[in-house]
Amino acid sequence: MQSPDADKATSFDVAFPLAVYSLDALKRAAYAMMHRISVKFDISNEHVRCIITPVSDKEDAARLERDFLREVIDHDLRISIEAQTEQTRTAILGLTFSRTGLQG
Amino acid sequence: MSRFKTLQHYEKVLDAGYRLLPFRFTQLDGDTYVASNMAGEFVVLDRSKLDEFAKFKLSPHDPQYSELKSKHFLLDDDSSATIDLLSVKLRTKLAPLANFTALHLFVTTLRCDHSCPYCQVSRANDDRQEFDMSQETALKSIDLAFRSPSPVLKFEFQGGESLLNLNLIRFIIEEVKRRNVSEQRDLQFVIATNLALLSDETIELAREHDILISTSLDGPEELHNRNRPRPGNDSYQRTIEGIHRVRRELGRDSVGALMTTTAASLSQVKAIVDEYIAQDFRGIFLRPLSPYGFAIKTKFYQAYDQSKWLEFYFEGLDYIIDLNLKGFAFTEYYAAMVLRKMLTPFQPGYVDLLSPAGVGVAAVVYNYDGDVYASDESRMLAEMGDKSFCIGNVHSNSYEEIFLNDTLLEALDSSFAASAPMCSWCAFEPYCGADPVFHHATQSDFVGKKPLSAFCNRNMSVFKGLIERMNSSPEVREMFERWAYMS
Repeated sequence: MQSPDADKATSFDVAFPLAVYSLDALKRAAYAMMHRISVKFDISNEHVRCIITPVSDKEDAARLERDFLREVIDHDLRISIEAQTEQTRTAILGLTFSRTGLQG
Repeated sequence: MSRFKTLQHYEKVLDAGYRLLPFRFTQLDGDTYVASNMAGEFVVLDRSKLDEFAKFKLSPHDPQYSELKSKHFLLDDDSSATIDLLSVKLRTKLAPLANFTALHLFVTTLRCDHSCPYCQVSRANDDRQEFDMSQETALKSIDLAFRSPSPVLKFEFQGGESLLNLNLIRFIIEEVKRRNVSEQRDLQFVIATNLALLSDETIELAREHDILISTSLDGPEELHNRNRPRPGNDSYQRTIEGIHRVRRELGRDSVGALMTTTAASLSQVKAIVDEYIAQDFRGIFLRPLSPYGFAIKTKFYQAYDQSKWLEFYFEGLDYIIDLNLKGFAFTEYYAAMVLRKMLTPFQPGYVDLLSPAGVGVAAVVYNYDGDVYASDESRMLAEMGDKSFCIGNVHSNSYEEIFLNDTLLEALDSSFAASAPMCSWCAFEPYCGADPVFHHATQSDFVGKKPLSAFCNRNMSVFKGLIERMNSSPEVREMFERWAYMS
C-alpha cells in the first residue's frame, strides 16, 4: 500500500478502491488534515492514488497513513448519513423557519 | 378491554426498525466519539456503536438506543412528534437573530492613562483630545441605535479610558433616556473602565442611571501592574480600590472584571483565580489574547502559542472544578457560555460564538470619529490600518447603507458555519461561531481554513475538554448544568 515517491523523499502514497471509498470522502479527509499533510490525487478507473506529503518531517509516515485512513472512513460514513437524512434536514429547517414573518 | 396496549405491541413497534435523523460526529479521543443533532443535543459513544447505529444495526434493547431516541437522533414508529420537537428547539436557538443588534458600543475616546503593551485598541496619549467623540457624532450614533428592532438596547461605553470623556457619557445617557420615553425599550448601560480615574461624579452618574461597571483585573498585583503600566505603577491599587468603592456605593453586583492572558500569566492561573476569589468575584472569564492592536505590534500575541493557552485554560478550569466539588461555588464564564449552548435550548449572545456571525448582528461599534464597525475586533483591526469591517460612518451613511453594507453581508453569508468547509460536518458546529473578523485578520479570508485556524483549534479543544469532563464525572455534569442555566 505504501511506496516511496520518486520526487519527494518524504512523500508516500496510498491507493483507495473507488468501489469502496468516495472521492468526496478522500477530498474531505485531505482538507481536514491540511495542517499535517498535503495530498495529490491520481485517479484511474478503479482506484484513487493519494500522494501524501507531510507538512513537517517530524511526523511519522505510518501514523499519518493511519490517521488519514481513519479520516477517510469517518467521512465516508458522514457522507452516507448526510445522503440518508438530507430530506429530513430540509423538512426540519422548513418547519423552523415557517411562520417567522421573514418571508415577506 | 384492556386500558393499556400489550407489551408485544411496543416490541413490534421497536422491531420495525428506525430511521436516522440528521446528525454529525467528531472524534473525541481514540475510539470515543461525540455525535450532535441540529439542536446541539449530544451523545458520547464509541466508534463501533456509532457504526452500528448509522448502519441500522443498533438493537432497540441497547441502552444507547433510548438515549439516541430521547435526544432525537432516530425516528421509529413510536416517535411521531420528533421532527416538530427538533424544529422548535432549533427555532428557540435561532430566535435571538430576529432582535438584531442589541449591543451598541460607543468609543467615547481613544485616550488612555495606561500604556498596556498588549492593548488591543491602540490607545492614544491622554492629552490628545482629537481622539474624543463629539456630541454631534454621539447624536447620530444614538439615531442608529434606536433604529435597531431589539426590545433590549445595551449601551456600552469604551475607550481608551472611557471616563476621560465622562461628560459625553452623561450626555449620551440623558439623550437616550429622553428618547426612550416614547421608544419604551429596555435600556442597559455599561461603562468599561480601568477605574484609575473613578470620581464622585462617576459614582453619582452610575447611581442615577443604574450603570454597570466593567473593569480589567489581570491577576495578582505584580502581574497586573506588569501587564497594565501607568504613571506611578499603581494600576492594581487603583483598580482594587475602585472595585471596593463601586460595591460599597452601588451594590455588590454593580462591578464585573475581565482578565487578559499574557505570556506572564501562563504559569500562574491558580494565582489569578485566587485573586478573583480574594476580591470576592463569583467567577472569572479566562480569556485568550486577540491578534489585534498593540498586541501584534509589540509581539505580545506571538509570545505564547495556542497549546500553552489551552494548558493554562484547562489548569484553571480544573482548579475551579475542584473548588466547586469541595463546596465553593465559583464559575468559569467561557465554559458557562459554551455549556449553555450544549445543555440548554438557549443561545448566549457572545459575539465570537455566534453563527451567523455576531458582527453587526449582535453588536455594533460607533468609533470616536463616527466610523461604524461591525464589532469591537473590527475596530481593533482598523486601528492597525485594515478598515475592511468599517461598515459606514454615522455622518455620511444611512442605517440601511450601514447594515446592508456589502462587506458585512458577504462576511455573514460566506462565514456561516453550517455551510463552511469542515464546520459543516463538525459535531461542535451548534456550539461554535463563525468569526469572520478573526479569520480575515489571520488568514485574509472571511471563512478561514479551519485546520489552520487558532480559533477552531482553541474552541474544538474547549468543547472536547468540557464534554470529556462531564462525561467522566456525574458530579461535574451536575455542576456544569448549574453553570449552563446560570445566565
